[in-house]
Amino acid sequence: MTSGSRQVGRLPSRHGSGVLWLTWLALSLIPVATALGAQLRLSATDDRRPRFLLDAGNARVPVDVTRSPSLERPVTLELNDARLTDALAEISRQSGLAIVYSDDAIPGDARVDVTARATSVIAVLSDVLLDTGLDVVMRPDGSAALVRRPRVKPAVEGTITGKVTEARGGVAIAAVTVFVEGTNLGTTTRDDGTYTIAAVPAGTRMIVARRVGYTPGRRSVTVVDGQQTTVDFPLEAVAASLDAVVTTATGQQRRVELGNTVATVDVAVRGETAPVKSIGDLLNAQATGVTVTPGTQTGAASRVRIRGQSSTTLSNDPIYIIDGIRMTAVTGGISAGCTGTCTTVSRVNDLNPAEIETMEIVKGPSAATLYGTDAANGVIVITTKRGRAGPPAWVFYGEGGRVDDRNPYPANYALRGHSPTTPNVRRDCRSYEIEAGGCMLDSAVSQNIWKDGNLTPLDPGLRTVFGGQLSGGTNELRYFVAGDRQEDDGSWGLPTFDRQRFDSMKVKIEDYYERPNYLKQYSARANLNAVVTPKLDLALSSGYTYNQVRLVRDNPSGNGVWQSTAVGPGYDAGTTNSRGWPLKGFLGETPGGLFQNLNQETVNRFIGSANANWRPLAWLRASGDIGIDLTDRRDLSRARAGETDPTPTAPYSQDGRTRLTSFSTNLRATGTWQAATSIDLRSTLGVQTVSTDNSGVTSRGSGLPPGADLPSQATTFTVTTSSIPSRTLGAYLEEQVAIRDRLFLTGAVRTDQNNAFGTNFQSVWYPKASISWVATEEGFFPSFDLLNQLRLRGSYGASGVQPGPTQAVKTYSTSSVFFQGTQAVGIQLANPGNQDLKPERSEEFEAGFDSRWWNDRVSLDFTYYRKQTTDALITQPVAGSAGISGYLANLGGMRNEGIEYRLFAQPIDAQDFGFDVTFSGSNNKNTVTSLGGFVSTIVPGGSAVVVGKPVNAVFVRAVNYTDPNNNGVLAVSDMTLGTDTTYRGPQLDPIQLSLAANVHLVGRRLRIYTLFDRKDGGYAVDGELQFNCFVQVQCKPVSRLDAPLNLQAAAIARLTRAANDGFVESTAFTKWRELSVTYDLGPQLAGRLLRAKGVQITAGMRNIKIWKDEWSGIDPEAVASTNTNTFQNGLTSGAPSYYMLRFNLSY
Amino acid sequence: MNQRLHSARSIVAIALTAAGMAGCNDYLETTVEGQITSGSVNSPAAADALRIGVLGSFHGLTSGQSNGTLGGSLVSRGLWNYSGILADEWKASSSNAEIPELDRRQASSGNAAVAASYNIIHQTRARAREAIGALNTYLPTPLYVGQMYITMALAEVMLGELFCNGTPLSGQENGQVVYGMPLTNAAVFAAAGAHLDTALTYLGATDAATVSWNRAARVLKARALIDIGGAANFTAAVALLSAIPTTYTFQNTFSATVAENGIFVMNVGATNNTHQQVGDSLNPTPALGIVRNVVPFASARDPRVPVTGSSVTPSPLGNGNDSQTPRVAEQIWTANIAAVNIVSGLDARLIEAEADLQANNFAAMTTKLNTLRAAPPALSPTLTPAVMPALATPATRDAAIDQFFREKAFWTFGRGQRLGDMRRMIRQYGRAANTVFPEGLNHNTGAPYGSAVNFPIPTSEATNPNITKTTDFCIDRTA
Repeated sequence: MTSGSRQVGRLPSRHGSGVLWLTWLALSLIPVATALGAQLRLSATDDRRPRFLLDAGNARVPVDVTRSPSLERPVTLELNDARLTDALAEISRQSGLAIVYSDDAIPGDARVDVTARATSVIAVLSDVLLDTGLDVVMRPDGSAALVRRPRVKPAVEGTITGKVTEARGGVAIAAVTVFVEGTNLGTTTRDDGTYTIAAVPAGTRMIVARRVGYTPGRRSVTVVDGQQTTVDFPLEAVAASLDAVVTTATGQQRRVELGNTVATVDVAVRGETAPVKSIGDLLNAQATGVTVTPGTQTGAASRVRIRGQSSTTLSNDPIYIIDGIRMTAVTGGISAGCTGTCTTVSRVNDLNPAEIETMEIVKGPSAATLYGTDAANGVIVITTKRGRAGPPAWVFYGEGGRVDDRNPYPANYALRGHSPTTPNVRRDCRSYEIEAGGCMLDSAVSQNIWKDGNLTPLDPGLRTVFGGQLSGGTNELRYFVAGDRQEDDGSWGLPTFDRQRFDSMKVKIEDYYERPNYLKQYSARANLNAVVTPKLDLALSSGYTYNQVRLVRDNPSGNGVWQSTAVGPGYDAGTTNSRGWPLKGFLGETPGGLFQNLNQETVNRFIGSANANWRPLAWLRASGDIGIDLTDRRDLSRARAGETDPTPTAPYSQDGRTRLTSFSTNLRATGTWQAATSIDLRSTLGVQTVSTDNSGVTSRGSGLPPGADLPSQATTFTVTTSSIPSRTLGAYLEEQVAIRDRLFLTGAVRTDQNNAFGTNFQSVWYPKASISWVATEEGFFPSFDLLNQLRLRGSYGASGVQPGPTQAVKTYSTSSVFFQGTQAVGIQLANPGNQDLKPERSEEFEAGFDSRWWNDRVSLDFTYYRKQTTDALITQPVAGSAGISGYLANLGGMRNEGIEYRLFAQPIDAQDFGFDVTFSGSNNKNTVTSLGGFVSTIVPGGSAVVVGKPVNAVFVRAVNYTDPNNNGVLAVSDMTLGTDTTYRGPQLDPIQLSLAANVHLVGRRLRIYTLFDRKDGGYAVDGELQFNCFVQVQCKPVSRLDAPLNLQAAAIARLTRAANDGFVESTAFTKWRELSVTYDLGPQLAGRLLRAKGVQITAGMRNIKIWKDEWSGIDPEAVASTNTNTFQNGLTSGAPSYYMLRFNLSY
Repeated sequence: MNQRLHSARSIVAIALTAAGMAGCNDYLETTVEGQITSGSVNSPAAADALRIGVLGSFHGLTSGQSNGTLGGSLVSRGLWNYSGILADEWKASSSNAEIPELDRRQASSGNAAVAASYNIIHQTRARAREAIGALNTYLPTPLYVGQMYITMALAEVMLGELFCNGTPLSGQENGQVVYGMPLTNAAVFAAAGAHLDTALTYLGATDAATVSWNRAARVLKARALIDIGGAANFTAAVALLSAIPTTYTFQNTFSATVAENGIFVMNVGATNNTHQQVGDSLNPTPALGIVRNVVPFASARDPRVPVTGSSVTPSPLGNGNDSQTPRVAEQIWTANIAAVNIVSGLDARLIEAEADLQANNFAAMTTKLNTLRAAPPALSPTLTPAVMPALATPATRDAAIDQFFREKAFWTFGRGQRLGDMRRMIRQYGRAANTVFPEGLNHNTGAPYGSAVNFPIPTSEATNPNITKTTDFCIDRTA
């Protein structure tokens, strides 16, 4: 037989970068794939072949071959250079099918070669009529008429419309994804459940409707030229489903098709009913393998780690994608009045949770390969809310809350006494001195400033949120508009006694004295979705945020408020600060003085993106995302003359203006082919660029005269500028095969170039492969009554993290030098550089299963993963004697291996009462596999990076003690410090568990939600006690006679041997994280009371209670800084509790 | 036909994308503003900038802030301060862990102040080497080259005086690090001496600047020689110094906006934020007893070390940065821009007097000391001590040793010589460490002092393949 294949021209091969090579490869594959598709399928859309149509009166529709036996009759032909009319006669003769045509329809000289053995009539006719321009029309009398195909062919396309409802009760379901299987055609349902899909190729089509929480609906339908076909779907509600759609680098896909796990947080629901204040709160304890360390101040950054830590040098933060474009998510900016490890902010917190529909967490390289370099630590994909077709829908909400630090801060203690030889000189004794007779106790005193209403710097603050959203539109143009205002006073306030002093001194009390930790945020969003043509969709997203954050100075060094309050002498010693203010028991400075040190950040940010989907052919879709994330940030830090006494120079003013720009583009083309009835292919080629720039100017003035507050008014004025650009250029190719819609295979490769790579390194390649198999849909799979669905999955992939833009380059820094009376600028080597620098590379394998049981009321998911990071960037250790600093080199290796599991059960799901519970957990084992041959130094009582141990492993010496006279007080000689240093454990908690429960009552109108989570397995130096004993104003364990012996020994080791070992403790804890109660008034009551469609009232609490295993400080989760790769536990205040009452009104 | 057209459009679109990417090499070409790369360090001006950078390091080695950096970071606090804290010149009053540990004689190899000191010494050496290379290529001015050798030697003298035996002197060849072997302090001083000899070969001109640097080289060479010790070296040292007048000073100068006087900043500067107080035998409370062996700089009321404040609680100045150590502020340098003598004719006279001590000529030694007491040289822009009564000639060698080093301690207070002298009292004069260094109860902890007489080699040196020890990298911790 002749072939109907078509040759598409190839591009000439080109040499060059990996990106271009991959592009060429992809282009080369397209014709091959196209040919393959054409060979495997006899398609009515192939215009060289005849169409087989049924004469249906006023229209002609494609023939259903299975109902036309005459076309399936076998014929055998062997004709060479025969006339076409003769061939048709022979076919008619053998098949009995009358074939009629007019003489002018067939050229007289048309000749064909035909070889067919027992081949169906339809196949032989399709072959012999190739390129004749004829169609075969089956007439009511059973004959086949050969007719000339019209020159101006009408669109062989129809429209499908319908409505999706709940099977039980018929309630319309909105936001259901409805699509034509095997094509890129699809839409989502409107609020009333209706939908319309235009430009559907005529023929028999499978229409599918899917939404999380419902069984998918599938219906076969015949689409008729130019006609509208109605397909309605009644969907059954289920507790869990594999058919949810998730966003991937190549577009939206069903979860079942992925070989990796993707966790989804339904922010739209959680944000409206859970006590959450930030993105960090939204993520905390919501996805297995995701560790969130929340900041303890309002507006502070949270630290997010996904499947452990992979780098000691580079950021371990995931990257963020919002509406298809890369979002600036750096941690850092204004900090709490210090340098180094101190509380800071994150650009992630600029996002308003109320504007977000979903957050999807792509956990590691096995899933994140196509997101390219920088995605090795995972990807958080954020999708903002979209309008749904229908009349305007208004939503208003208001929230009032209280932020209250209820942590049980302990008192400071002192043992007042005297020396035996100087009874008239009062001094503070330490318990070991008393025990040894070197100090005579007169009295034991204590002071808890935190609980002293006159002195305490804690003051519950108010949090208010107001906002409104409007959405609606037509099927062709949908809109979503939102505005929001938040204000949060934090939990710190000016103590009464400081206020009285300011009043007495006639000092104006600025707002930042009153509320030193404060957040004000305004946000607005406008999203549009337009169907420009049936084949072209556009989505425009734009969000604006104004964000002002003040952080209280809480760092451990430099007289933070936590330090001054928690490390005081234990009594009012009558001392004063440098300005003569009475300290009242505070250390060094009173809160009022510290609060005068302003640390404020003001951000104006715009994120805008445009997304286009063009479907020129049913099998081809081209998509493009382009967007910009523009942040203008002003960091203001200041202490005016006469105000606080900050280090290092007082008074001062620092004003930093920073512009963060991220511009990204994604272009991709996806082709789908139905290779056979049961095999679907999907090929995607994409290119991506990400360009970021961090530029800014910082001016600092030291020595402000009275009344001045600008840097330029100071005695010493310096200005520094910076500009750090980063460019990434990547391309990828992905091929997916779906076999019988139950076995899914994916292979992909991505290549990246980046300006941060060393000049000796050009591009990096990342492969990917995955398999997903729904075993229970196989006929041979044993049938179990309880097991509804079992999916096995596995995936492998690689990704990376790029070095900083200047780390490969040998650079010099400038240095202003004043030498022997002359000032000049010199230069000094800053970074030796490394031209071989390349990205860190992480390869991950994960495997697991998803299972659904008991009519989908129970689900159990399990994943094992193993992520090996190689070429890890570590600072090439250079001995100090070399006189140059260390430089980054790809020397290290690290492995993260672990399991994740999630059990969901919905034992009761009645109309009036429902109950479901989710238990999830993860256990990550982190191991440093290489340090490039270098041996790290282990410092006992601290952390170190050592091969064979977790990163930042904690090592200790034994702190032994005896109490020979059993009086509960140790002498110095009662403590012995071990000589052997042993490994104690990892710093980052490897074990995470969470338990969440929902209860529905009163006809599902009342919902109670609660969340507990536990972190376990980590160890750290209890910074609170260690620092207390280091500063030694009053070391608590030896400033009271009833302190636990182990802590007394730890304090003695710290004071006499400079050893922290005794303060290393387990950081394990369990926290009652969230509780919320939501009541839905229902449409009738809502309408009667407020003329609303719906009213929801939610009362919630966050950070309700903590149970600690061993930790003697306040909160092991409280870390001084969330933007470092090491943990410095304690040394700051604990997380406050949060109480909220929220109203959601919809119209 | 339509579908063909669509297909062709799609292919064209993708092809255009690919073609667009062909021009993307420019996309990856970025410029980080403000970065000085190695490609721009190849001119006379660049060579001079490297030289000035080395002189910036000079500050951190001595009395000022390194790298011209204002602020409170460890590397910018000056090695003279750190050495004086381990010795008896200063008491730590800092809430930073590293500084009190020095004061308690407990500093470990992980101590950040020790590491910062070690690094700035070796960075100065490396920067000087690089500058010498550039100067020889692009700007071969003898004075400039000589300055670099002197700065390198100054770093090495500080290395030998502060650190234990076993410090390597590593270098670079063709951009690769060449690690040195562990060296005794004597070998380090010898290396410094050799670099000073080289410096002197560049400093033969008679202009004022060259003469000043020449004299600095000779005083430093003499200091390196007496650090090595032995009669011959003392004789050689004296020979170097004969032509240097007592009034000669080679100074570090400062600017409030660029590089402050680190001694002033750390002790006198920002009110309650001072990290070190003038040392004393008196502890803040009588219960702690006295600190043995030390020179009572604060309470002696010697005209060469005038102070305000009190070592005993309460001090009229309040407490230091740790909120508990009473403040005692020196009054030699009374401003953050007060110049400090790095080397001087005074140093030369003291070396000459010590040579007499070495030769057991106590009368000659006393005569030289009394000459200084009778006509005190200026110690700072604002302090020329009053005439002091003559000292009696000691009757015994022990008394002469005590007398000389006490005198020298007051004359050189705060100028980075005391630790080296205390070590030499042990090494060269047979004193036991527990009769030289602070003993008793530390003012900060109330616990006994440790046993350190020098700085340990920091942990970063473990990377040096020539270091075979795994815990304590020193050859020994003796004086």
